[in-house]
Amino acid sequence: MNIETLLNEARLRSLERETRRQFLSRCTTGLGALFLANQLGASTTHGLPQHDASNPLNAIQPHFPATAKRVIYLHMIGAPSQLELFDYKPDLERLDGQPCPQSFLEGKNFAFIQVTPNMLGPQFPFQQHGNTGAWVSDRLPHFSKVVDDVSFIKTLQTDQFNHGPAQLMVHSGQARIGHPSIGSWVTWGMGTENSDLPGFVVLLSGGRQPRVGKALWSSGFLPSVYQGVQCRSHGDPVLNVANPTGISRDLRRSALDTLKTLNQQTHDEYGDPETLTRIAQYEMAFRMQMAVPNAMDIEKEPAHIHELYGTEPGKESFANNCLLARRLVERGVRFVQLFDWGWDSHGADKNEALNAGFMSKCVETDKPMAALLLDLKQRGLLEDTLVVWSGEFGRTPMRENRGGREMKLIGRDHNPGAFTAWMAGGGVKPGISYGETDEVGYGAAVNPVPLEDYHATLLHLLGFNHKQLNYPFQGLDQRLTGVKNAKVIQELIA
Amino acid sequence: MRFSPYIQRLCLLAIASLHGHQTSAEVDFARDIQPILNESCVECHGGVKAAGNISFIYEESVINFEGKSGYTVVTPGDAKESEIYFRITTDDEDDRMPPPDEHESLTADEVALIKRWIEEGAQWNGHWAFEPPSKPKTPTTIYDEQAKGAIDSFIFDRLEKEGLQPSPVEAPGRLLRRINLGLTGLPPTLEELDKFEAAYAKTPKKAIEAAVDELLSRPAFGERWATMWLDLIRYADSGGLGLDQKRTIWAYRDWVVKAFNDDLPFDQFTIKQLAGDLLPQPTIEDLVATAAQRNTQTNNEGGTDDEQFRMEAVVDRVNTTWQAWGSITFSCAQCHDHPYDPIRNVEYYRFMDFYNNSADSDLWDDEPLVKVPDEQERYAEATELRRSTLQAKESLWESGIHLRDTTDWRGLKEITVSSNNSTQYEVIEKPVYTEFFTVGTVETETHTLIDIAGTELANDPITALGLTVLPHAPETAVHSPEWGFVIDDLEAWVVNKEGERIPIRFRANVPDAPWIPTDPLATVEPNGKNWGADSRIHYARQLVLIPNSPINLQEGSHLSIHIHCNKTGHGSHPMAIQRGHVASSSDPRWNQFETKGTAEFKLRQKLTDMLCKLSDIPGTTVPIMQSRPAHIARPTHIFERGNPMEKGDLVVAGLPATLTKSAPSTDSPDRLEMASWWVSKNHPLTSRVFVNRLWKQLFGVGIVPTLEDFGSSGDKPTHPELLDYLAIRFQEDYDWSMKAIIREIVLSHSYQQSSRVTAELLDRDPDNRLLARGPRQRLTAEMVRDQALAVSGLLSNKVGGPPVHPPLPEGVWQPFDSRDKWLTPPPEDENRYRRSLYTYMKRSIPFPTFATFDAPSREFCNPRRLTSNTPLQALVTLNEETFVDSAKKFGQRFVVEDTDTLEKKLAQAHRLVTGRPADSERLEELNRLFETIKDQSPEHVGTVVAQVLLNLDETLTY
Repeated sequence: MNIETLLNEARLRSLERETRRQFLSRCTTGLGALFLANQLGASTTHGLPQHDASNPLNAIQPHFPATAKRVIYLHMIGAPSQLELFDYKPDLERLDGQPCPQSFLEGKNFAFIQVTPNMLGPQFPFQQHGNTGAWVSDRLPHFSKVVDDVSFIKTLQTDQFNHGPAQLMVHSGQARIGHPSIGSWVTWGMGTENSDLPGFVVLLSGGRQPRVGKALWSSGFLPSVYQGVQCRSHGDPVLNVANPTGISRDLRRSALDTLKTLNQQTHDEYGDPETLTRIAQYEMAFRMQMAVPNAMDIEKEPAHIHELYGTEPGKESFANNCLLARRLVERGVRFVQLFDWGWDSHGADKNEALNAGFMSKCVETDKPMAALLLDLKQRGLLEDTLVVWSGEFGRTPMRENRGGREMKLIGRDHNPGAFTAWMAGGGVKPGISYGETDEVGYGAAVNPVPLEDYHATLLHLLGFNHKQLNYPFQGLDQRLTGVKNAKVIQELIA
Repeated sequence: MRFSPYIQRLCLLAIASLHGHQTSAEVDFARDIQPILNESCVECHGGVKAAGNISFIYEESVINFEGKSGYTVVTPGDAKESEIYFRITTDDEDDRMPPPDEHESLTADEVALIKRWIEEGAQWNGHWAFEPPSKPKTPTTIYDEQAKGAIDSFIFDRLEKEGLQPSPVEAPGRLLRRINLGLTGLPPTLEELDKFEAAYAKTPKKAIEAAVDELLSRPAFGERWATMWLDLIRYADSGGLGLDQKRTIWAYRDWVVKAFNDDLPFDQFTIKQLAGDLLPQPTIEDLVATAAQRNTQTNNEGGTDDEQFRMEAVVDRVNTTWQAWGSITFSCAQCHDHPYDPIRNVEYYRFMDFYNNSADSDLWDDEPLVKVPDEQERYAEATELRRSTLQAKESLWESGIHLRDTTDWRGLKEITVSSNNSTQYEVIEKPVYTEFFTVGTVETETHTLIDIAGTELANDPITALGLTVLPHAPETAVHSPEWGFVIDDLEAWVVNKEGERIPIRFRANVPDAPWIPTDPLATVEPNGKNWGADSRIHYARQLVLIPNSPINLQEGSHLSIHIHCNKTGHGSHPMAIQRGHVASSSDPRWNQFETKGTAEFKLRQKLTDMLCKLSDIPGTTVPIMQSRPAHIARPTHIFERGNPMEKGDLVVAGLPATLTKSAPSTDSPDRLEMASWWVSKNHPLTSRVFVNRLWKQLFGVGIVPTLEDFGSSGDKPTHPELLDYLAIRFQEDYDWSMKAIIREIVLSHSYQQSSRVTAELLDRDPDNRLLARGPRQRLTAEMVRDQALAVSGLLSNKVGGPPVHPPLPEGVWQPFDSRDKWLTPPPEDENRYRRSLYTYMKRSIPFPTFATFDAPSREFCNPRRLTSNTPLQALVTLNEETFVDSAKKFGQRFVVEDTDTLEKKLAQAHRLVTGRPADSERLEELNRLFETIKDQSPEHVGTVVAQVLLNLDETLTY
């Protein structure tokens, strides 16, 4: 080896260090990191996903082999009462109607409770179900039959007690808008299996959009290609997926053929590889125009499936969305996010009262969510599909007394101290109940689960080390789990 | 979609920079040593963690510095006496650095470099971006003949060294299109192409100059460049978070457009936005400019904590200032010292103090606001009215305060205090007065009922009453402000022996602050406006009430005061009085205060008149920055580990030491000085950062590619001399004229050369950082839509005004705040087809077309848009309503109405969207399409052909 070769070697080494430093250092905001990840063939120590140069959504391996390959997240917007569904508190029953002890009130923020409210016992009877003896109230008769496949977290905690910030906390780990949602992190990290469909799909039911709107499925500072794509039951299933009136698929094909040839000529002349990518994207769009309506069309599902879910084609409903979720994951969509509106049971009006609207919400969702688990299971999909159910915070063991008076209807106020989520499939150990709340279900007594631990656990099931799935922005390596020390809850993992 | 292949380019550049390495005799700290330290040392010896007290970020904790071990880290000139050298060379695993079990050892080269650096004297020159730019010598190159100015010389110099050569100039039609889109965001018309090509044929240089000068003078110029700035300043027409309610702030957007069109020098552009309110005699425009920092998110969901979100807004202002003007990740220093750059944690909070004292506090109404007349001609009148009303208010208030402060007050002791509800008050006697305070839970809508016994005041006429309100826990409130109070009504009676209640009316009052929280000089009277601490209290608040006539209390009678506090802090927090005391005065001067005939009375009348006149001027409003008066200034504390709930030491405003070496700074600078500092002569960042942004807009990649980070962890400039040349040219030669510097850039050969690339060159320089070819960029979100509207003839050229609501796919608009309507104007209304910049920008429902084409939704400062290439974009330009409208119109115009031969009209249509006529090969292809679809109606044929032309790769790039 001559001196020239040695010098070159040294230069290269120093050059590698230089480029790594610039792009991967701890405090860079260099968006170059992303590009680097796209271009580097070899893996990097920092775990940035490496997609194909021509397709940022191509399926790639996460940090380690995942037990969950796809996710269906069911979010009940408004925060359903854990005390009427999953967290059975006999002591609270005994305290029903008694004034709330002052110790519960001191130093606490409430959205609406004033002065000294009364305690409110569980409004519905509970029973144990399945081999695992999970407690579920009588509001969820169908779900009660599948509890052996499900694991509960009873002690989720958040630091936000208003809906908007709390929903953002659950979905992006931050209380302000502008950060990527879980679905965006995951599709950025793993891409998706079917390039003719969006990798991250959002389905809404309940008649209203969530309060912070698209911020809940935003890609934040990640590239826009990782944002959630809303699929709809009315209008185009995906925005602009239908050709304009009078333009048939054949006519469009002819136009695209010409476009392709002309663009190919442009490439021959100017040599920009981006032109070839554009040709490919137009072709993919054309295929998407077929694939999306097909995936979204539930009419062809057999009668027994409609019966199982309680679906009615053409309607915007939670049941339809559950069935759609199955159809989408079956086709390789990576992340399906459902939002169901109407769970904010303050008792201030009929739609939002435990003894009225809440009961209807239970009826609307009980059968479909049980059906989703059964259907995924019978298709062998539950094994590697993670299904998650949660709200954005819990509800108080006190009865809401808005304006300091007893209200006509029964409701509970917001409680960030403890709420329940459940998970099934995707490598979750079934039949577990993790964490215990205090005797009235107000706070976590055993094994509290802050949201960052919950997020770390979800990412773990998907094959990610939450510390390594990060993206440089505003001077920080941003993570779903934030700057706090998060831990994976091993007890929940099969 | 794909992303640019950065790494190959980087390798190339890094190899190139190594050439320089070899020839340089001396080791350069910033270039050679700092990268090693950042890579291998600062994780433990840096800003976040300084093990053994050693931090390689700061010279003073390295050079001649003894760490905890007692050894000198670096002794200049003597490697053997430098602990660092011992640690990186020793074989003893316990001493070796970096620790062998956690980190790879330094390479022999690195060790050798560090040794040489120490032996050469261990010069600690700072990171390049923290040193002021120096005027470089313009190089001569073998391509000088093609050079049109200094810019080309710098670019060609690099090309020559790389063994590359510049490309020939772009074809004139495509060149004009590039310049048009680059300067105005719109493509040229056919007439403009004709005119330009004719002129170009005669004298290319003159033709280009004339075109550039004309384009710079178009209103569209400001509209195109405003988008760049509005991304940075996170402009939106809604508040974000909770309700994401509509926010009326578009006058600021128009101010930016106008500032760019008027070529407002960038130093003024800066000062007005950061501190326009503090300028002497600020104009309406100066105040509107300060709305830049009112684009922060607010949270108006029920039950939210205004103070929390006020603090978040303040933090965002700090981060945005540093990002927009400095491209520095200042936010890193919020929780600890900056891990890479020499910025201390305490400096973050000292800077935050510049913003902490602004009057806004996350309130529903976005106060404080300024009225902006619709007609510019009335700006002066409005300015004058605003100035005189403020002056009158201030003067009235000052005379009241003077009287208050020279009055002999008697603290009242014999009082009992109760409430109208379950809220409990207790009293405690203090030396001068009796203090009352709540115990237990405070209910909402608490009225404080104060009863003053007549015994104390008998035969002493009361000419004024003084009310003092304190936080419930005054000591802790200084650090952690409590929910405040708002008095919305106040009643008083004399209750005589017989129990008869004789009402007392108050004719005037003197609050302790002239313009807090809402209306300057809020009055407290039945059904009147309110006064208080909204939303937080952390110090005593005072109010003087002056009765219509002196109150005479007899023995046995008493005085009863009912203070109504009905407001709740968003949701349910009672805004009640939790602690306070009362005083009275018998000073006869209060009898004359603001009574008929006095100067104050006349001024009060004049004030009322002026306020009426001001509100009668038709116009809009905009939220502005306004500082709270010094005597109620908010203190600024360090947040422990960045947590706003844990307040640490008190700090005062100041600028970071590393960056103020060359700039004078007073001991306690105000926001105006901070603003001026950014544009001071030797500021190393501002000018470089801004010219780099302009460069990126025009070339697609910055001279420093990391637009968001000029710090030591960002990219280095590809052409450092060029960057300094442009920075100095912009700041000094052009006196901050944005148009002048843009003009020079677009007149360079580098900008005008052909973008054609060979496979070989693409391989060498895939992202065109060396500029051996011209730029080729995808149109921005706004340009994609504006171009489609422009070429089809639909685009309105109306400048400015309230945001508009172009067609939106059904079902997209479902705002949480149902009062916020999206009403699309009919096709004949020009507001349907305005430039994209004017589209209503709601943070929670971003306009789908823009979001798909990579426009940010503007929650935070957005320094750089990433360009993607996705199928969803194809669906927008093929199927979205505005694009379909455009295609129909375009097809109608060129295919249906045009009577020329098919070939000619297709050639022209092609030329309109790409800048060049279709050649025979392309015409043949388009003809074939015609043949295939000839059975369709002419309208359909027109639309289909138009869609092909509007979706060409050449149409979507420039």
